[in-house]
Amino acid sequence: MYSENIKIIEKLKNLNYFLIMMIFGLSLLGFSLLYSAGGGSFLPWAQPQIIRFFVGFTLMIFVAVINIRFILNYAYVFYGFSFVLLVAVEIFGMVGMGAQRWIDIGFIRIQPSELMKIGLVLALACYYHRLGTEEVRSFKYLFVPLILIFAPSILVLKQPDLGTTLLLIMIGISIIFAAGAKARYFVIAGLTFLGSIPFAWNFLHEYQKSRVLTFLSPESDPLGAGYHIMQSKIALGSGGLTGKGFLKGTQSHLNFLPEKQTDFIFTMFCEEFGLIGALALITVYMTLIFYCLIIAIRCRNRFGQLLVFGITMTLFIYVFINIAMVIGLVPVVGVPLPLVSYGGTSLITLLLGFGLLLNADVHQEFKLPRYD
Amino acid sequence: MQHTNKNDFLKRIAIIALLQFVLIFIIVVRLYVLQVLHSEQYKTLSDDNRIRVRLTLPNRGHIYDRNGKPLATNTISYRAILIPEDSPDPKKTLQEVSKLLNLSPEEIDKILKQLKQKPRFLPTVVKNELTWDQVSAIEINMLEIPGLTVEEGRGRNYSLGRYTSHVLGYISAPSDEDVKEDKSLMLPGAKVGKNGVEKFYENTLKGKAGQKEVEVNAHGRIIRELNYTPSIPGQDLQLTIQKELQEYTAKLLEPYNSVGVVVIDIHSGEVLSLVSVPGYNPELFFNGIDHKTWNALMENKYTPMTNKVIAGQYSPASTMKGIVALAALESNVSPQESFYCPGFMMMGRHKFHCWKKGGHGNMNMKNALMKSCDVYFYQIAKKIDEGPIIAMARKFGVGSKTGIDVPYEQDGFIASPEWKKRVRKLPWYPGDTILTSIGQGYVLMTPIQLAVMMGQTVNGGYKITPHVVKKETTAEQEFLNVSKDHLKFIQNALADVVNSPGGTAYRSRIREKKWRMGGKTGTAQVRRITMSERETGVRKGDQLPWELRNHSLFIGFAPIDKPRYAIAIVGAHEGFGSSFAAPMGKNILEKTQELMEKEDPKQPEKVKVQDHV
Repeated sequence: MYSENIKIIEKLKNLNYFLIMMIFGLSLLGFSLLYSAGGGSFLPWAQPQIIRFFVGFTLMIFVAVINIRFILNYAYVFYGFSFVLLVAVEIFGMVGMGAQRWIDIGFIRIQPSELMKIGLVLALACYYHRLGTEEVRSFKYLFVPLILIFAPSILVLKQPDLGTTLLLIMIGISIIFAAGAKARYFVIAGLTFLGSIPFAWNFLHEYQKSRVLTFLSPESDPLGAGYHIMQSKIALGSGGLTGKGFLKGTQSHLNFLPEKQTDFIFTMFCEEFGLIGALALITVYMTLIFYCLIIAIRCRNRFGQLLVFGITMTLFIYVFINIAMVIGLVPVVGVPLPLVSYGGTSLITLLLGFGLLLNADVHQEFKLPRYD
Repeated sequence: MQHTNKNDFLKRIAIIALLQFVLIFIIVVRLYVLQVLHSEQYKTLSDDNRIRVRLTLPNRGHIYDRNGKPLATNTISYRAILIPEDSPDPKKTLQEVSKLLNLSPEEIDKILKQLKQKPRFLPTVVKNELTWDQVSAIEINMLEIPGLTVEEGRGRNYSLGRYTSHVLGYISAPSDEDVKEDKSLMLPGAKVGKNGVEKFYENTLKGKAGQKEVEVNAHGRIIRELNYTPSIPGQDLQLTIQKELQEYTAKLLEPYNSVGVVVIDIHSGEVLSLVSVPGYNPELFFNGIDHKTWNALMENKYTPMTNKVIAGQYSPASTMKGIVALAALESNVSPQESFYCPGFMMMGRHKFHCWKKGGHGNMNMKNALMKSCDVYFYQIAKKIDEGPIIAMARKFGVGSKTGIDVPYEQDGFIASPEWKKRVRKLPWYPGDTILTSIGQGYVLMTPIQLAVMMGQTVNGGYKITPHVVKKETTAEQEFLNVSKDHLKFIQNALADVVNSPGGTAYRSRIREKKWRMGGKTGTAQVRRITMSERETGVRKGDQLPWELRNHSLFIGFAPIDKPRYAIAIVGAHEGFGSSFAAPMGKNILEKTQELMEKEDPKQPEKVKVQDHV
């Protein structure tokens, strides 16, 4: 139905504006929360975030309208590029810069591990796009995807960034699952994972161990590592059903709540808007996520399906881990709340991801050959 | 082919979506538990987090003399304090500060130690009593010394300084036990009365701490005030002390080593002057006394920290003879009955000496009191036995506290045969009675007891409870149940001790007729005089080391026709009663009457005390 050479204008017209509005709305919420976190001021957080959003938004629209075949062709290149950056960061780290996670490119600092999340989704989607149904179910075709997942994961773990490592693995595994690998492999892998926990423990850094331990019992160290999670729970609990009101969260504004503009922004939101606000926000996120899953199903090409699914899954994992960690369900691993938390790289990476998602949506009827 | 796995993809997405739904449901349940079920608990925690109760110190009550002249008042001083949480590196800050305030490395170590023991938001005093130069030096260098600020503090000024040290006592930093009782004492600058009126009336003087509820941030910094209950200043106290008299007495006795003197009003029990020599500087303790000074005070053989008026216990010696005579009169001994004094009396194989070597010849009661003849009283003791003497002494307060409103009063002591048997496991010898009759042996009295004994003898026989703080109402006085005629006889005889030629204190008589005083001298032996000394005549006090010299005592009253004041003075190791205590007593009683005559009973002017927030 669609020709390969449909005009840019046509594509812009057919963009999924419902999705764009949701992205816009969530970002707007983020700006106002950053305004609140700044004590009722656009500085130091809301203003730079708005600027970055528009940079990212432009990038998103641009990515949304380029030809999907081009994206498919350059999927591995993007992955490779991200991988090289990761290695570069690792080498810089070896030279003596400590745990450096980002590369400075002037106006913005890029974390290669963030780019790698997109790169991994692209690479896996591309890989499975080029496999036949039987091959997908075959055991030997699991090796390449696993290498694609674990090679960057190990590098990120060495930075050390446990949160991103787990995120990469979860995203990768879920794509393999969605692509149709045999269900029994996941059962075996899950059991293996549980069995390997005692060994993995020894490879963790002290601060990572302490995070896990304090997660298990935050009250044991209320002034040390358990402080964050205790204060976060106090802020949440004291918000109650209806919250303390916009700009009125005492825990956040009196600095009892750490990192209120980044990882703990959901806590601040709940302190000010209560359980009702929290449920509303979760509903918005879940609507967005389920809507994106429907987009994935609607895609006629495999690359688009898996690309949309991978990005949606990334979004979900972000939302879930962030909320779960601030309410004390999982250890604090440093995962932002997508589109809302302050932070340049994660916002731009996310918008880049949404650009790819929109692209797949625009090209949902597009027939992509396995190989060009 | 892309269609063949469409259903499978749908199925897998559905599984994922279901999983997502379950995970989100767990989050929602958790949020419900936190924000609805446990909300109240977290609200309390949140308020605990942000609301701090800060106490503000009340102003201490002032202390005035009987005429409203200030004796103890509050002053404002400046001190440097360090709030640890405001200082990224307290040690570095202190080192910078030491350049401005000349802190020694030991002081810095001490402060660092204190910092560790307190919560991080509580300030610690770095230096007290800053000069103006130091205050401005700190203000100028504020940026280099984060965490350090200047705070207005309160000091205590004692207008007579060491001259009132034993009446007023002193205030200093609270001990751990004090803090246990009153948490507001944890505040920097909190002080507690440790002696004298400052201690005895601590609850009246201290007032009530104010409360300030403040909202603080996670660093403990005050963001705003939520609630403020101002502190209630302590009540002022008016003493019965006459300031000029106190100053006069203290100055008069300052050159001597160890003296206790007290002047009381014999009808009201008001203490007009209370001086214990040596005094001490009460302001020494205000900011914590250093070890060296403290040890010096404690090791001083003249015991400046002891209030000798209420805690110094001395043999009353001849000053007790009035009471012994009274006991004789009450035991139906005629005052006209004479005894011959050859200078000694034999009691079995023991020889008891009179102070006068050659003896006094024939002595009746009046002459015996006038000349303080020991042998007369030995005879009396032999005649009436120890029972009436001890009973009369007890009746007049020997051996029990007077109940004066100054802390650490001692009981004094008088032995009885029962006591000696019980404690010493020895029988009561006739010699014991004889020694008791001249106020030696097992008798000890404090100067305040001596003054009360004196006063009760001449006020018509009413019990006196001395006090230094003015009382509005005077309780009905207890009558001691002794014959008024007998008391009158003693009073007249004691008037003759001073005013008749030949009386032991004749040289110390007051010439002004309306102020004439009566009294009794006493010379308390500190140790037994040996036979050889008595023979060789090495008895002169100034040839002995100070510690072995006799105590010089005098109790007196004035005026003789209508007694109103009583005095007791004990000069430790100052020799004869007639040579030190009597003339001093004369000067003081003279001054007392001179000042009290002029006294205009006006109310003290109340000083408005501003409460510092």
